Amino acid sequence: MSGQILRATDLTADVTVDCDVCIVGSGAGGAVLAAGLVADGHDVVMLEAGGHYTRDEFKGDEAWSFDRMYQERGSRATRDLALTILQGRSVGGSTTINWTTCYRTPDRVLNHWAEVHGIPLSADDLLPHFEAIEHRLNIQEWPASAANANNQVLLRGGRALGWDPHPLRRNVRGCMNSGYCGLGCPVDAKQAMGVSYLDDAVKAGLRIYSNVEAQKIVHADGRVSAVTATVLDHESDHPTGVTVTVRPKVFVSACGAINGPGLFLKSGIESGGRMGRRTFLHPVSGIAGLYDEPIKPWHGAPQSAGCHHFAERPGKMGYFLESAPLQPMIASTVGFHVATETQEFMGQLGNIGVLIALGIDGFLPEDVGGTVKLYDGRPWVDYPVRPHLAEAVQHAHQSMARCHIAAGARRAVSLHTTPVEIVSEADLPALAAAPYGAHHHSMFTAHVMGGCAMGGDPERSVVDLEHRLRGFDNVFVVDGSVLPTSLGVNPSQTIYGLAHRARAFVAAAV
Amino acid sequence: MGSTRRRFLKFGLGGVILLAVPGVGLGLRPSVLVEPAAPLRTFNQRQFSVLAAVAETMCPGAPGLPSGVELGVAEALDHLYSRMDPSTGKDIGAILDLLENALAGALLDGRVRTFTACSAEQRREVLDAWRTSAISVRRAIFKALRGFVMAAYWGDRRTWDFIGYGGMPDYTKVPSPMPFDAYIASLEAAKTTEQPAEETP
Repeated sequence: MSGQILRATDLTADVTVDCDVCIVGSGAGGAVLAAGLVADGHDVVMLEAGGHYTRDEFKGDEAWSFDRMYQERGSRATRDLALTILQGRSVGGSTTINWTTCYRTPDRVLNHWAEVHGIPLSADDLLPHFEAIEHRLNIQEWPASAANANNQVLLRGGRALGWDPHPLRRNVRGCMNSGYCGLGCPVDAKQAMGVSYLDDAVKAGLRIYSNVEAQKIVHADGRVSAVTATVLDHESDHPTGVTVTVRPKVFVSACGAINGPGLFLKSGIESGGRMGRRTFLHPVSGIAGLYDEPIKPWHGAPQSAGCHHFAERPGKMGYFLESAPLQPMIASTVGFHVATETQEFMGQLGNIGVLIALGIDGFLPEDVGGTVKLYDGRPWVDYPVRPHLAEAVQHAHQSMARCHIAAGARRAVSLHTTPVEIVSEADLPALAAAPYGAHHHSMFTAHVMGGCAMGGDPERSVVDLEHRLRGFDNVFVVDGSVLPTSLGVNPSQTIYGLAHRARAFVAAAV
Repeated sequence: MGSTRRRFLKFGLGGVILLAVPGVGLGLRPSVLVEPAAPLRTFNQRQFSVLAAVAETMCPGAPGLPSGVELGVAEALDHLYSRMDPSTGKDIGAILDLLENALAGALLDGRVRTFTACSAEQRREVLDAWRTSAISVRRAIFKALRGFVMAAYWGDRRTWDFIGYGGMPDYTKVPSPMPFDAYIASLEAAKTTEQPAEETP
């Protein structure tokens, strides 16, 4: 039985749908789970608030892609606006617009989860799931020889400093090295969910309702009986007035670590006050480097090198280093400068490389991360930039500036409200003396994790070890929101792997 | 941003945003209104005029680079907000009202003109005062406004020649990778002929 992908234009009258499993969200978690469930013969319906787009529409136009395939048209932010949140919103979720970086969950993270959060999940437990994912998504190391100039900066500078930067792995097949992963792959080389697990699942019977936003979970006595949703106009994103009601045997939230907790909170499910808490962001800071040679930071695989030299800093927040692609629109938003200063920056864009540092949040005892709350019915992440994060950003600024200089940059430039220029290591004290914290420098995130923390202790967790929402028989959470901490690596493969593992638990509940 | 956000902004600015309501004292100072090139969907003409002045100040243009006004940045943002949660447009409108208000400007920056009535140099000074303010919320507002304006401007392909950016090459004739099942079958076939197929980046 072949399924289908419905759009808003297909949904002109109210409809009620019965099924075995309703999954809200079509990203890394929902897609892998759906493919497994339909392969087992289950009738699965998936709701996706975003639209459905394919390679024919991916022209590398930032304005078009951010407008259609990012949450809040690319303008989502933490509550105090200190961090911009880049998060996907279309069929395939963030996998449609991510930068393809794949890591298995690090052992030290699994060990921490076992010791602190009561999650006895070992690398051996996850191995068969990761191997299956790596096979289907063709996850392989991207050779250093193919790394673009922006990533060569990290490899070259990091090696010169003895930091052991490494090539990383990507989920691509037939990649043209275009550099446009973040705007939708123009050749379907990226093994995003839309061309992999969702494609498999639809061929096997999955029904996807795109442009349909879940509004409320109807529940009583620990069981969900229905999910109500509204159809959104595919252009304006405003409700068309048409509703979709799904009556599943089992309900799965897979709509991410902001919208997922938001949906539960809107439905009156607070999990003892723990719903939405412990939200982690891998908060990102960056430094630009100006090079004599062309960098063309818009070209080539966006990320192909990583460095974890600073991942573990005892008593302090660790961080890891990567590179970030810069097409013009996103490049223009990274600083605080305006007018002729911006024009000068943009005029030099072809010679600019950008290093980023991602804070590894959730491991210090005092680091409780952020909280997803509803404000006038909309979910927001309240994520204060606390002193331990400001210290990590300050330290990371030193590291990134040193890496740029070691890689041969003419100068490095911070993204402070008043930028600091670093020509040599002698300038580092001035960089260290600059202010750090909310709105003193640019920060963003592309990794939203937590909010429905998994754990062994019912009093400290939102879902149990089998992804089941505590206090409910037929509700599961299968996405990045179950992570009890951040990961210290890009999270997509961990989410794929956990979803692959969760298939058996969800299937058993049907 | 929701109305709760607006309350947050009010508290963060020590109540100054409350003075942005037109019709009070210096708030009566006249605005210099401009005509939008397209019917407005989110802002009133006053708010639009402030946004156009911000765009003109942040994106003045240069030889070979059109200005923010020439590229219709304010019109593009007015359209963008109309397709977002209505609270976003309302909040941006409140920020534009605050920026324009001469009484708020007098209290925050010592200027007694509306933003639209300021010279280009004065507008730059006003925006710099927001950028470098000791008040975190002012820097947050500046960054948010700047982000929208810059994205609308540099996301417009008419700025790309200045950057030396040619846009994405045309990949429409590049075939998609073969379906997964066929791909696996091809690998198996290659194994049997002892000619392993390898991915080439």
